[in-house]
Amino acid sequence: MAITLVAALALPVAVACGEREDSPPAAATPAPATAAAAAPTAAPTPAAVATSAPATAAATTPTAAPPAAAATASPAPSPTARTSEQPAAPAADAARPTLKAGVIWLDSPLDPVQGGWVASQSGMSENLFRLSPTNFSPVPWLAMEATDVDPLTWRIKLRSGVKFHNGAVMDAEAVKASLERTIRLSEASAEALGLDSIAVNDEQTITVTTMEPRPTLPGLLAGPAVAITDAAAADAAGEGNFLQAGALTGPYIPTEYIQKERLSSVANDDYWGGAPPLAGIEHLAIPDINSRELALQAGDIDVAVNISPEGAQTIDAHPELASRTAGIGTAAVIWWVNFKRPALSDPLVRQAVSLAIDRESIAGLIAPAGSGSFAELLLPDALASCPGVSAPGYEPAQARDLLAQAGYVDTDNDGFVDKDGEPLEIVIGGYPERFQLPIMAEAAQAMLADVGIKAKVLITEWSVVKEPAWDLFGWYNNVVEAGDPIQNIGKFVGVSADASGSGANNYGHFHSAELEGIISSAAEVADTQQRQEIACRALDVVASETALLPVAHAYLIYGVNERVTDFEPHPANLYFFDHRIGLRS
Amino acid sequence: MGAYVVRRLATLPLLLLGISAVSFALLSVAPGDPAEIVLHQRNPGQMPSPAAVTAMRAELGLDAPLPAQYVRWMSRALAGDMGRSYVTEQPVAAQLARRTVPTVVLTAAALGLALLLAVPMGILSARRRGGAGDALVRLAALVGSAAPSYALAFGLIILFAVKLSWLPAVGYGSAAQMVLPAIALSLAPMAQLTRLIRASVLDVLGQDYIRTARAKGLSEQMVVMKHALRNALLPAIGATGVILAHLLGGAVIIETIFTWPGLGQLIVGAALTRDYPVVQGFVTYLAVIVLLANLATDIALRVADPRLRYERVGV
Repeated sequence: MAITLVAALALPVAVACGEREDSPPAAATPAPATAAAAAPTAAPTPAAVATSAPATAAATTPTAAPPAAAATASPAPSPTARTSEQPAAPAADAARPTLKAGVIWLDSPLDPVQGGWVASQSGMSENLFRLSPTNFSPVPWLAMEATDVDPLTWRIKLRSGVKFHNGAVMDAEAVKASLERTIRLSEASAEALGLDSIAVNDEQTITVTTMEPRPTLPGLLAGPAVAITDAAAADAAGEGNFLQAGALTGPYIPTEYIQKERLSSVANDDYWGGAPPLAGIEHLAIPDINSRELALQAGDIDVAVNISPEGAQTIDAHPELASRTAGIGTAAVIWWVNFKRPALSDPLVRQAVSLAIDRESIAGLIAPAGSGSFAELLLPDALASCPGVSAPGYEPAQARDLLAQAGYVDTDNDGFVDKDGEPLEIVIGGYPERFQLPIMAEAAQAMLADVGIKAKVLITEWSVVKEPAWDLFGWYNNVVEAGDPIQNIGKFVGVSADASGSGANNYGHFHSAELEGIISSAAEVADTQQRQEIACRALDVVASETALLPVAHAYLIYGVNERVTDFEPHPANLYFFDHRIGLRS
Repeated sequence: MGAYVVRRLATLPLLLLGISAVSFALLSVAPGDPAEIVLHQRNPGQMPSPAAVTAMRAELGLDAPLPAQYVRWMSRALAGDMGRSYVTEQPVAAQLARRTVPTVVLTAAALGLALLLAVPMGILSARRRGGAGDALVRLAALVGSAAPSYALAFGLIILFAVKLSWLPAVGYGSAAQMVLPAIALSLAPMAQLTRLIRASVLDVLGQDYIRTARAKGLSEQMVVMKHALRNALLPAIGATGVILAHLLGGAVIIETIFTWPGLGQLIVGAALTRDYPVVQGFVTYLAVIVLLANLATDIALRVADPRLRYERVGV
């Protein structure tokens, strides 16, 4: 009957619409493994690695051009939507294929100061620095090197031969104007960068001074909102016309953007890293993860960004498809612990809760092997390896002992402990947009019941995290921001006045003078190794105080057609496509 | 007829007022502060300061009492300004207008397909009552009514897009891309209409005037097509308005699954991001469409059934 229905509908519809779309292309011949193709082809233009070493943090190791990237955990999607077309966009090259990509969302505007995620992910915008795919340290991109002259001063040498999409040259004046525009229009960026002044030394060099020491400035300059734009062109184009300004520098030029629907681009043949082998990339917003995976299997798209672990298994079983991941989880799935509620204010009870929840098993549920890792600590090893620090494991018997020490016993034989006639009851919150969180909450509810703690599950709106309605609250967020371990620890458990992290996301209201002191000690430390050591000391406090409960580090997984070449996933969710990705006919 | 239409049109503003007021009140008690949501959208990953939240609440007019907010929204809506999306910052009315065409095209295709197949299947089933064809149609109608639309949609994608590679799985813009979503959306109303028409035809075929027609020696085909069908289809015409509302509701799921850029996909995205102006605008807009569709259905019924036209004069 279904075939009859298809035939019955297809005919009149095809006639009515006057066109017919052919079946998806037949499968290509089994391709050689993409891994070989994915090896970074040497970039035509030399780049320099900007390590932020002690005194002169600059670096000059020639390296390959920016690889493509991937990653899961994005913070919340960003805003805006507008339908725009670039009238004078270069025509798509018929001799080169166009890649079709299915992404979760196309929400943020292309103007970096309004978020910048989509422009960065789609290979349209670039920053002075980008995060390394191996350890997330900032490496030069549109910059060649950065030298910290003194704690408040950085000298940044710029790459030559870079042009904006509108043909204007990116020089020191343009970069100065771009950073000034960012500070003018993005309050959050202005606060994070803390810039005092920007001076032009010569055509390819600027000197930046900060109001307070910013030893991680190159990492901060890697944020998507700080992408380099042709400020004059962007301002001249006016609000809502950013696409027409041609104000970005990346390998793909946006030609049409319908927010929440699709984003089209053509290759930037004047790209400083060499002309892309693609005619362009068509991004289609496919928010439903099942639809995204099926669209890849049906041949409607060539790359599906962010697929599920289960979907990856199906895709790997397909002869023409494969799942790809960088193998480093950059998104932490955690529970906040609410220090403002009485239930968990007792450290013994907090420890008992921590010991009663088998987080490694839960990690297996929400991030099966190959798709994530158990996150005993907040940060992935690639950002801060702390072999001497460990969090308590799953010890339900010990949890019961601790509850007894805290005065909680089951006096009425109802299976749940109580104290002074009041049962120990906690609320486990979470939001539904991240599938992991409801699963975690229900699993923890059962585990806590085993040790006599009654738990209620509250799946609600994410902003409820700010309300005093929960004891544990599931959260999913990027923890490699700016490539700096201290910043990411500070963001989650720091205090708002500290120098290295705003503590802006400290939803659990954890406060520790010891931790504050440790984080503050990093204020002027530029050396990466030293910052990692400080981070490990901070994580030790976080673990011993049960400041929060990490569960897993989720990987960003891509589904890729075998015809796609030179695709190298990046673990961070800032860079999906670069100038090297190609597509065999 | 003219007076009837005028009376019905006169009730529309009251109904819309009620619907919009209720939806406005419900959105106001939904969790999450819109001011914080807007700030978070603009600066992902940053916790907005209390001062910024207060300023944004004032900017959005959320610091006014709820009735005052509603009156302001309604007065602007009457002038065609339904506010701006928190997420896209575009005018809500423009978004609704742009998304209307894909939804109308999809809904019309689904309704057309449902009617195209339900009418002959319902008649066939009634005429072959108790036979194999009847059993088959009833089984298909049962499955179509009971199966969730998302399951049918994914089943269609897996079969026709993934396994057979006959049709695309997602997207919008070509005829081929419309086939699967239209079928998925049409199955439930098709099943409903088939069962309704079957029951109605059976009922009509048992009436005296049909026996008279047969006694006159008319062929069975003539009896059914000329005498029975017009009366048998009246309940189906009456149900079309309700079915249209169901189709618009079903489009929310189908458009999301097939990445069809219509109103359904818009409302899902808006609800997930707490884009309240869009949700409020959508609810009101949908109410207008459904109310007008119901009015059109009632008018069609009166045209098709003279008894309804003469009721008021006691004939």
